[in-house]
Amino acid sequence: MSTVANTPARVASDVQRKGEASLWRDARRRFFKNKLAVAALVVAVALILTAIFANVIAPASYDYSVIGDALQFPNRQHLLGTDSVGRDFLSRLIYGARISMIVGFSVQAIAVLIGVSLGMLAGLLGGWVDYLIMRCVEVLTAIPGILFALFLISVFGGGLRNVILAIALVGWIDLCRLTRAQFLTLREKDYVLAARSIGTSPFQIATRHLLPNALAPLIVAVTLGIPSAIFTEASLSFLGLGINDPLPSWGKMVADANSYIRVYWHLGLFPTLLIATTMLSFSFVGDGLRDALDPHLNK
Amino acid sequence: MARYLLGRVIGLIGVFIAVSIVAFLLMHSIPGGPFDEEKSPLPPAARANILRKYGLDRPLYIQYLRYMGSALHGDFGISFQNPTETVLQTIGRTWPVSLRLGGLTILIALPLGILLGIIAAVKQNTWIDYVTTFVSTLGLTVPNFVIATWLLLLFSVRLRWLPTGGWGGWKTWIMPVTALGLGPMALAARYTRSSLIEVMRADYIRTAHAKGLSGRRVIMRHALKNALIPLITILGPQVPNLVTGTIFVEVIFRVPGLGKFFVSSIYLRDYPMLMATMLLVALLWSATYLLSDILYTVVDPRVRLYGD
Amino acid sequence: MIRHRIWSITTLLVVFTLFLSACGGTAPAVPSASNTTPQAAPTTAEATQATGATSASAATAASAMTSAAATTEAPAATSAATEAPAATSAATQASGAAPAAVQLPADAAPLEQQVYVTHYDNTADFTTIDFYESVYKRGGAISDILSDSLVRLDKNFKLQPGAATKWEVDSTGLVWTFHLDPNLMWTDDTPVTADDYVATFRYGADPKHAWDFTWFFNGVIKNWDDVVAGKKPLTDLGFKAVDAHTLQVETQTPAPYLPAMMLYSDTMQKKALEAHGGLYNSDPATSVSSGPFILQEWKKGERLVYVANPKYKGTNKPMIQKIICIGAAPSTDFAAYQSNEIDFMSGPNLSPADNTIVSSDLDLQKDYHPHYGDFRTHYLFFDFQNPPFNNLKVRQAFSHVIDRDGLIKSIIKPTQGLPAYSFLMPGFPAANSEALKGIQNYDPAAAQKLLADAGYPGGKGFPKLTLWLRNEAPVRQAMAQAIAASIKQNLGIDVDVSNKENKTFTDAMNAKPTQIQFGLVDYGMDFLDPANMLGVFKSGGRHNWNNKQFDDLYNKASAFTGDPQERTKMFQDAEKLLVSDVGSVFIYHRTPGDLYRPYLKGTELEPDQNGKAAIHWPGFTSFSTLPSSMYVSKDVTNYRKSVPQ
Repeated sequence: MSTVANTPARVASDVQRKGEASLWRDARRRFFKNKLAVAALVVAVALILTAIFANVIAPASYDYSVIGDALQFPNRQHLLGTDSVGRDFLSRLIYGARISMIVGFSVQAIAVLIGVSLGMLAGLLGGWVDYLIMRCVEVLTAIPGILFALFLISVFGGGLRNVILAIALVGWIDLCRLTRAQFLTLREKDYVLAARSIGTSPFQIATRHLLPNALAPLIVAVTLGIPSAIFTEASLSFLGLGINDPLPSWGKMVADANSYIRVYWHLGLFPTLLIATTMLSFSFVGDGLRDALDPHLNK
Repeated sequence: MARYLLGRVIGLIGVFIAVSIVAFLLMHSIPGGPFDEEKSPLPPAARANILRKYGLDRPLYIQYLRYMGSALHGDFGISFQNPTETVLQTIGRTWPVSLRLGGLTILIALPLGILLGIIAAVKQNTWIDYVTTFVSTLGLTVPNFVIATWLLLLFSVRLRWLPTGGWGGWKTWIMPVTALGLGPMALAARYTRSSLIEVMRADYIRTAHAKGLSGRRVIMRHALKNALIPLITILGPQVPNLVTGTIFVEVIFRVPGLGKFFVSSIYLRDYPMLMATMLLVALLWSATYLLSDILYTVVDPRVRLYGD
Repeated sequence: MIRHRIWSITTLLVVFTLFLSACGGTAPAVPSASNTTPQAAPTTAEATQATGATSASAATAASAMTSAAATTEAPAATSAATEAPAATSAATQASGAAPAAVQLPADAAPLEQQVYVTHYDNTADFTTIDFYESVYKRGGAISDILSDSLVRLDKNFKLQPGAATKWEVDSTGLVWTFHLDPNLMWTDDTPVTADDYVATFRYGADPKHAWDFTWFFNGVIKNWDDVVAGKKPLTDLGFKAVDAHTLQVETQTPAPYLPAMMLYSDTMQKKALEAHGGLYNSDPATSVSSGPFILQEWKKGERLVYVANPKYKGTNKPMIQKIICIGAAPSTDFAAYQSNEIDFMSGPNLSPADNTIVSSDLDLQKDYHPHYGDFRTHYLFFDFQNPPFNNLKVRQAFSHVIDRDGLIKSIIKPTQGLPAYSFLMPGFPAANSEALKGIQNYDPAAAQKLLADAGYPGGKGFPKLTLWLRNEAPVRQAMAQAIAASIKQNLGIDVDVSNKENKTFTDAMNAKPTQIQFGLVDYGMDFLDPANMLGVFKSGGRHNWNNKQFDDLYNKASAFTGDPQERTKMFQDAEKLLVSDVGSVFIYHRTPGDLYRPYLKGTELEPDQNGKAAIHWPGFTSFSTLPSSMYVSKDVTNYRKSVPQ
């Protein structure tokens, strides 16, 4: 009797809606079953909280210097020792989390935004769009970062915003090329062809079918991009574009430590450990997310 | 295919022109020049003499056109840093060294990295996997100049097994190759591991397993092949990156390569050398990108690069 | 299991990093950022930095140098020095036609082991080994050794005859005559003549050559400025060959310090210059020498080899038979030194950790030799023409908040520097350190009051500052950070520290008006006269501290040919003005030491009149008497397994 026919389209959208809800629920369930990912998430959140609440957590100010206390090894008063200017190293590491996290994440956020979108466009549309985007990539790769950084300094001066800009300018290239390469292969897969034949829009194909399948290398690229952004910030500070002292950043601490660690090992060890921990925790979280969202994995 | 290649070559010319213009503008917009002003600013006459000597007294567009005109005839000028030879001679003298160091590094680091990645993927969550993760974390979070200095102090100063630097004989190759290779190796291992794990979950691999194919054959025959696309994408650029030399490693181990010129030509405002190195990089990268695009079609014949 | 994984990785990381640190961490920073700052003064390779002399002991050097500069007034004194200069040792008695065999001291190693190995900075610009080709592109390698300069310095900074056996000035004080050693020959068997010297100086002034050191003779040599500007021909230059062996130098105003300036006069060969251009010494094939050494090999960026010149007939005959200069990053010098690969390492290339290692190692301590260097002073400067630093009280406040003793003790280290309260380092002619000490003393309370008087109580309303550094070495980065912290903690003013790339900094400093509000920079001497050092602060020069009174005193003193003591007094008055008007806040005089092996011996390496045994500035070059004195002793076999090739 029902006069309203269950049109295929209606069914499809129903299924989709229901599927979406359960997809996320399943994903969350799967993620929290993955203990490594959860542990890594805890560490990552702790690091982020440290960065945010540095002024509450740090035992001392990051810029208070007592010259006579310079270069102390870890001791009771300074748990992780002091730096070459007699500032509490633990406090500087805690504050350093701020700059390093901001740089690491904003660069990666910009990189994902630009890189993945351009990569999707290039891979999906091909033709002259692909051609144009890839030639731009080639031009950008050839221009040395130092030159661009010096240009930025001379025009705008230093500062956090320019640092992020300078790093992000080339930071998106790997992500763009990875996305494009994955799309090039995936777009010819049977399920994509099938989706296309029933008239799914290219945007939906890209976000629903292609992107989730292209995720694995992208996650690696993003997590590896974090330490590389942290170090690039440090190398820019050698040019005067980086974050100015007394504000600390981990990358700068590692780089500065290089002329001290032959004796004063603590100056190199602790920031290196923190950068490694950050990278590891985020790559485990990334792996966990990927597994959780994996369409193939339906335990 | 021929048409596609032709299009890419034309694109290369466009890239060259774009790089040369952008580079030229950036180069001349940063402060300083090929002169030093130590005690006090140079008297205007002395400064003008220096600018005239290097042909920097003309309008920028004329300098550019003159440069490009000579470059078309194969004349890339004379490096300010090496006034007794042409830019091409300098590159010809130093590049082979970097090429050799980079080549050695690629031959050792990339296969090793891929192998580590495969083992880690197959033995996921075992101690092998942890060690691989550890080594790659080290390779990616410790900058290569730090690794280089540690190697130097351990093997030359402490143990006295190896000379502190120089270039000649295998003894001088060990440390630079190690310092240079750790990063790319780590990169290869990380990407291989993650791509393999991803692919191994795919339906057809599970099917292959179900059909009773042995583990190793499945990996070699099916999984690895499909994991290759991201590897080509990421490891491809490691080749031009490594063969053009790296300043820190070359400088620390006294390798007389091309690497330092990428940085010194900027610091010293050595415009001819800077332009030449940038064009060289553009050429190498474009070639690498073209090659990786072609490789995609080889690995996966369904990939179409040119139109539908 | 998962927890296990995180822990195992973290533990591995910790263990490994600890292991590496234990093995001995590392050397200084990234090469590009380390110690490659071009030296202000034309320092020669090893020549590098300064003394470890205490203020008291250095005082004698001042009088020595003043008397050297005063040769003007006492031609008799110089002609006395003509005969067999005492400082050039026994081995230099070579004269006559046949090249005399080298006479080695009894404890010297055999001739074939007389090899001297050093590093040079191959990350720096290095295109020439000739001063008149370029001063700033000599890469800090051993250079200027293929001909003799007119005069040279001994270990007590006394001027000694070089290619000129004697010199005198006429009654106007404007015309100097240098008498050349007629024995000197080029390796192509032609004599060294005054024409060679004239051609060399003309090459320096030639607008087409665009030499990077033309400012050195500005306003000193007659017509120099006009010739450089292309307004007058080269032949109008104040250098004339009176005859084959007599060189005449005419100055624009009386310049009692001219002989001291003539330290930089290692001649090029006119013939080679005309035939092959100024880079003829880049290739052994076109190279020609009249100096103690000849160029044997130069692989650009890698190594440079000199061997003793068998035809040399001058008074600086070396015992060292071969010099090997290896191109390397300064940050690797210490590792190479510890591995016995080099005989000498320049002190400023020691990183803070290296210094700690040296001071806790008895053997290395013996190898460590503090010296005067080039009397380099590090100081803070301002944009003096704009608020807030056009206010003297603000500048005075800044000058009182720097705990120089604390900086030296904890950061610079007492072996590396002396606290500075004025510009001229103890030991430099006219230095007046003791008397000026109280003007910029450390007194935070006074500083706070001055700042309040200037209208910024507790730093309120004071703009945030950025302290610019010029590609400084790590130790001075730390010093600048400590200074910034001290300003913050004492005056309540926020100060960022930004280490800039060399050319960016220099361009901004020299811009008119200057683009640097607050910066740290340094200067070391070019020649031993207060006119040189104090010239940095002339109006329209490096900084915009413009003081008419200072300029007048400076100009008058520079050209003053009367009583040297009166001249010294004038310079001291000028410096007092500079210090009390806070034309700069002086931080420290750099006095590091070099490391060299105990088998390097010679009279010039023995204690000088202040008891300092060292390779003094300007190092192993024909500007110094060192080449004729230094040799390798038999002890070398305890260090070297084979003779370096």
